[in-house]
Amino acid sequence: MANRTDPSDNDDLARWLARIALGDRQAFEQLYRATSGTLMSVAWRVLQHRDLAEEVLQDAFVKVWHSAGTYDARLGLPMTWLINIVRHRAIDLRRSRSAALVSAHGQDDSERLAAMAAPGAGPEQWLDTAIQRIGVQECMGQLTSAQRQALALVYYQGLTHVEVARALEAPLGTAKAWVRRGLDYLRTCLQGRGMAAS
Amino acid sequence: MNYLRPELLDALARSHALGTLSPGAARRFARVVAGSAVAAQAVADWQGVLQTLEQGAPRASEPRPRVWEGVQQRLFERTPAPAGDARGRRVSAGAFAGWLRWPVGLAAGALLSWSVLVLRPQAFDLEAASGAAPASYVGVLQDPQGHALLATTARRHGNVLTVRLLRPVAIEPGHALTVWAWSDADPAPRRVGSWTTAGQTSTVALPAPAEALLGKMTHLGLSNEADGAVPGSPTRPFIAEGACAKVW
Repeated sequence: MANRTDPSDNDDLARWLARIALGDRQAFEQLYRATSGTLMSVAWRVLQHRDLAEEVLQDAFVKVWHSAGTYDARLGLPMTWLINIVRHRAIDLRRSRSAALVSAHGQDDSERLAAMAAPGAGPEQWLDTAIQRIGVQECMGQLTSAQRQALALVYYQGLTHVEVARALEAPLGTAKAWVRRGLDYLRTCLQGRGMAAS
Repeated sequence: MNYLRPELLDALARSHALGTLSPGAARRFARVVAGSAVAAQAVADWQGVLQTLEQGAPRASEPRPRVWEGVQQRLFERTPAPAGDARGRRVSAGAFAGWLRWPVGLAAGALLSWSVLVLRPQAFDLEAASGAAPASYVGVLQDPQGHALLATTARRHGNVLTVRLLRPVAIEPGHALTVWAWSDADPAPRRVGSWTTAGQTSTVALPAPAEALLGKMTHLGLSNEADGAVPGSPTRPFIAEGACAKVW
């Protein structure tokens, strides 16, 4: 099953969503084939557990079938809408099953958080890669390493502010400020390149 | 609290898009978003910013075939809802099964609703300005025999529901015809509005903009409820059901 999609496919995705809203199963399968790989990655990143990520993906596509008519192209791209559904469902599941996730990893929570926040660990690397691909290295370079780490942990792995504070051994207010500043910087940098609404 | 104050809205939209609001705050803000185009745009703008971060994310292994099989099973091989659940009090369990079963019923209802609104806007006293019907929520509710019984329309951001009886319906003394809405994700019916006048067409004041009341709804139902103290959930069987369609 081919699963890749890229932004140029958004017209197809929007057309399929419109048809799904009218009960078109073929369009639904086309949408699944085009996006499930990317969306699986979103869920896996947050949950770090294949079975749970697949559970989220299944829930998300059931929701897509029921709510395709609520997608509003004026508000954003269809892939953004789909990623948002999956990511939020994954975050909900992660928070409601944190004990099971800890058990699945065979570590206690603090060890797991520390591993996520280790210098050069996955989330920070993913953020650095994204920053390079977007072409905002110089602009985002003004952020401290802690600010970048905080943003990466919240976005890519769905950590709460409290978990970020524990992972980075910082006061809660400081962790919140790091995330907020990181995001505000990202938006400003994207606006500077005409890639975000002003 | 004025959630639409620009600084507060931006902060809430950022946290909502990021997923860092507490569950309670997230639910409250979701209601704001459902009723405000400005708030919806603020959230969408932040979601667009966040999506750029996907460019650095690693790929996971592909989902196994059982995921798609499970989706199909959950959606298209559904067993009838057990008696006593939120939808159990409807008269429809058997009578409506033939035409209303998802997705055929919804698709047919949506198509019927679209056809009525676009091809016969005068049926709802809607002007066909510039040849296009205004953005509206539309429903055509059918009785258990499959006859169209009630047409409803509400402008997307309006506070009025226009209802038109397509067949005679007796309103019992001391009762009010009441429209309910629900979604497949949340099948507990929510009251949309009631009226007691016997005319063919009536206007019903909505307690909130149609976008907030109907934005997530997929189905409408009609019941004949005791007037005066209309309860939070239906106490009488539905006499008609249909899809809640968005036409814009």
